[in-house]
Amino acid sequence: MSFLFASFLKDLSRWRQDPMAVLLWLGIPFVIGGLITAMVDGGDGASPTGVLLIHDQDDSLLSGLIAGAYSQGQLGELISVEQVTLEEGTERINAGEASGFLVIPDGFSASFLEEKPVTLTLKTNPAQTILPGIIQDVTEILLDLGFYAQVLFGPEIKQIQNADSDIVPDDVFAADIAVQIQGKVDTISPHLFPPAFDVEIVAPPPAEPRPDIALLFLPGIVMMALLFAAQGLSADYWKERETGTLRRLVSTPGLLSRFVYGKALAAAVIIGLLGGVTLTLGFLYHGLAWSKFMPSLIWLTVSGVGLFAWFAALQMLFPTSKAANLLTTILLFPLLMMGGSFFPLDALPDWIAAIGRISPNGFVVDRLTTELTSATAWSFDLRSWAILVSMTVVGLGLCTWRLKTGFARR
Amino acid sequence: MRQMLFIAWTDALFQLRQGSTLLWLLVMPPIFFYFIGTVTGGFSSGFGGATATPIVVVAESPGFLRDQINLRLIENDFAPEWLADVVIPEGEEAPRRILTFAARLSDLILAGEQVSVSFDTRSSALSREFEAIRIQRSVYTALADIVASEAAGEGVLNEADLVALNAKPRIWNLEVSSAGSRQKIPSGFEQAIPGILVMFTLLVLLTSGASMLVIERKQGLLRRLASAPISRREVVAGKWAGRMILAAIQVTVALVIGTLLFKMEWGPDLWMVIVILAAWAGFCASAGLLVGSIAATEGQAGGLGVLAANVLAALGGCWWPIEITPGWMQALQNFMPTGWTMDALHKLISFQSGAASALPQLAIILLATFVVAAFAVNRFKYV
Amino acid sequence: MLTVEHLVKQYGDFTAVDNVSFKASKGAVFGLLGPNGAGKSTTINCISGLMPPTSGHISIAGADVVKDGKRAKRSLGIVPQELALYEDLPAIGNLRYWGKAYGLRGSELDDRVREVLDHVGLADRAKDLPKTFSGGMKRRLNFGCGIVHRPTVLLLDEPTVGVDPQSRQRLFEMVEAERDAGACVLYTTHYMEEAERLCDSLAIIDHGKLIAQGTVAELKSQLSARDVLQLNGEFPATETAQLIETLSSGGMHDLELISQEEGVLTLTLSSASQHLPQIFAAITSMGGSVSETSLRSPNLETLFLLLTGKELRE
Repeated sequence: MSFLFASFLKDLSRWRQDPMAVLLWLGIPFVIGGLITAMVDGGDGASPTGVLLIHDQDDSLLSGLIAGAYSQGQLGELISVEQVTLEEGTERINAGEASGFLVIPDGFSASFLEEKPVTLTLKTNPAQTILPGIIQDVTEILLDLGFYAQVLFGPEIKQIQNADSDIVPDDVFAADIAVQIQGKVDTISPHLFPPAFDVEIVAPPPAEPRPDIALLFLPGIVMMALLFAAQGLSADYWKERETGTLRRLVSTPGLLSRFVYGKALAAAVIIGLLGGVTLTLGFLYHGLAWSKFMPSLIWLTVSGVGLFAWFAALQMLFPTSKAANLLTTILLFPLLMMGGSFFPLDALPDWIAAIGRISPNGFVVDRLTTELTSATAWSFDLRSWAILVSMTVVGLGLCTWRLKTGFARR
Repeated sequence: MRQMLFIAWTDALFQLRQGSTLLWLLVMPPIFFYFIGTVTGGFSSGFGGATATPIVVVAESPGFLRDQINLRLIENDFAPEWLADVVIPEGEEAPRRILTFAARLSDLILAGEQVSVSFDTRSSALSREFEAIRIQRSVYTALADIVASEAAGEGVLNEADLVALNAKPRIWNLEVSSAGSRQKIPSGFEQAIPGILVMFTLLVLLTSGASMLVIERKQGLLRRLASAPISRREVVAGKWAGRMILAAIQVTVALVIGTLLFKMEWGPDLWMVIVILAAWAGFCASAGLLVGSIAATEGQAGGLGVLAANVLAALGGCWWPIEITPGWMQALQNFMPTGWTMDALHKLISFQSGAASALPQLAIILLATFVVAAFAVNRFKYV
Repeated sequence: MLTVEHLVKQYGDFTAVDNVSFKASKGAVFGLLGPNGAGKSTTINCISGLMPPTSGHISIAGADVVKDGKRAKRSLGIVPQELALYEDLPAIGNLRYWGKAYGLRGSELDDRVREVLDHVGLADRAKDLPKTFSGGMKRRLNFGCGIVHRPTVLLLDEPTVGVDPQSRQRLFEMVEAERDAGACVLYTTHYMEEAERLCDSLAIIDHGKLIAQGTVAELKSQLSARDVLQLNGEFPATETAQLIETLSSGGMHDLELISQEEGVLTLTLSSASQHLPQIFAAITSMGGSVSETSLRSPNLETLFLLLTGKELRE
């Protein structure tokens, strides 16, 4: 036991000599997490991020209504509308200074009255991905509304239009129009007030409230730091082999298993520190329940030690430290990608997310995400913990086996 | 000059013999291209991706309105499967998305009664909202069809009315095109590849390129070089050129992979794209040399390199669509070397605005290259 | 104290150690001499438990290294050829760690570590990191890590390679101190002068086999006080036997040909310097010529040459 503790203190003391490595592992989630949080949470929140340029050649009430629709409600928070000339709009959209440039042609409102098709043009910014799509969708909905309005009240509007403009319409004419419109309103009212389709979007279970998108990134980012740390820590076996201390160890009565566990304990402290700092900041920022902090930290620490053990075992299968490092790097980035560290698992295509959830880090991230986004207290899932602990123990066992079967003797 | 080229060539060859360099040059780019392109391509189509979203529609005896609702669902990128009822055998999972209509929905509509509709999805939190929006749009558009057809028709609403409505030409049409000269709106891959290419070049040079210098210093190789009949200027120029060769190889490989595997369209000014990327490679070479001169250990070089590359990539618009970032981040992009490079590439590839449009960015990248190179020369040390 | 009996170590078809047997006693230094690749390190590795022998028996302080490895290792200290230090752990940290690996605890450990630091001359650098040490200082710390637990058997595998003369001298003194304290020291080297200075008895190994064993005096007596004469020049190969016979019958009764290679003739005889003119004349008369002469008085190196026909440092 004493040798285990001695090994633990030895490794901790050695890592204290290289604080830069630990700081860099910590720096990664801070930097990337900070950038993602800044991106998702927007900073001031009030300023729109997209610009829609509109050139209204029709300059009518109807075209004004269309242009004004983009400034309403939540859309108005996302997009700001600017009225421009054709030349200015073309120049600016081609320069990438807007998300879209909509041209409402002359004859737009007349087409409503005369049932003559007219085409609006929307130029989108090819360097952007999301806002042009939103603008296109909203525009299509507005034009659909116009179509339906035209279908509904087109005959009446036509009648008004066809009336002799030199003659003031008499009461009979007006009443006739009113009756027709009223008739239509009476026909359609039952379907609209209330709407004939009563759509209910089934709410997610109480344990799954709508999470803050930035929160969904947190587990993956913390895991990124732990993975980098696990990889870096595991390389220490090669360092010890190259300095000859493993060979010396074999000639001592000290047990190799205790040496391995001592190293794992030191890794646990470092990983716990990384996890603790990042979780603390995450909890503070997202206002998470502190009752979940310790279980989250323990979950992450044990998983970090497990990852460290497996990386180490894999490294020790290779003949040189370079080859070993190459292998862990080849594994590291796909694990990060599929396991929810670059994008939340929920944001990945189904097949990638499915693989990610069974990957070691993805399994941990998935569980942590579920717990952190749940409104209820941390649920002790025996199966998950059993898998985690057993895989960690197996990993450590593999390390000991590999040391005994030759890695330490060269 | 000969000595400089000798150093450059030796350095590049040595780096190319390292497995880790080859990994980052050849293996990682296509993996990142595929992954980032697939995921961000999904973002731009509301997480639904390019394929239609499967959905089970439960409606007992729906009547003639079934076809109209079906039409609107398909228009909103769903792939409906109509069933009279859903029976889930024990041990099996329920369908992921179920849209349930009250029985005999056509009859209910015709009778002026309300039809209850429920949408239940087990999709992720991120996808759920987008799916709900699309469902509501489909159903309420179908309702608008019903309302408009009934009002326009004579007598009781029937299937023919809806067919007539569907055949009726739209008075207002929308023609969508891409700004600039480009005909086709870029795909998810085409959005992602330039950004990843820019990031990878920087990452490889800031890590491998910097680490190698640190190792050479530690092993005493630079000390030995100092005592050789090669001037300091030639040594530094040679080291820079060696990294430039590496960066050029990185860019070339990424261009080839992007073109062959991902059908990337680089636009009519490919030569200018290459010039911009070459200038970028020069900047990365200078940066790699600077980091290698500053870092005391291999670990520091690698760590600093990873951090710097990621920060510059994120702030420069390499990772995510820049338009969704806050105003201050968009403004900051204008001061990032990665931002200038991405800007130039967007002008050439996305907008196809012509080679001249990227000249200002080229100039500033070259200026930055010289400035960073000057720092690197100043900080370069043999021991 | 240390017994090696019929030790064999094979790697596939290659036999690295072939039936080696020797005993090393407490309070004495036993030397294992041989050129590079002779099997010294393999022998040491088997003794230290780094690799299991193919066959044979090794016991340290009565404990079998294979069957009772843990008990055997408690009595064993090693000073490997390559440094085995934690460069990022202070000198005192290295000693404490290895002390604990051997079971030392508490005040016993503290006292012993202080003692070893004084002994190896690093007391004033106890808290410094080995990466700041000179090569000699690292070697001394390496030695300290091997003796911190007061081993009764100490293995030193070429401990002075690349060491400056002062540190070398210091190491010799430390080895002698261990011997004087009663430890059984097994010392491998290919430097003859080290063996002659330190070893009470030694064995010469080549190609995995022990070719000579005994005290320094006993081994030297095998030489019969003969000099080794090495001649460089041109020597007709077919005439060499005739040359030896001519010279032997001419009064050099103990003349022996050790080896004959292209342009190099190596002979052994007593008082060689007195017979040089006769030898040169005989060579000239048979049509040969001598361009260079080397004459060495009897020592272990010449013994090695005698036994193996080659230089120790080839």
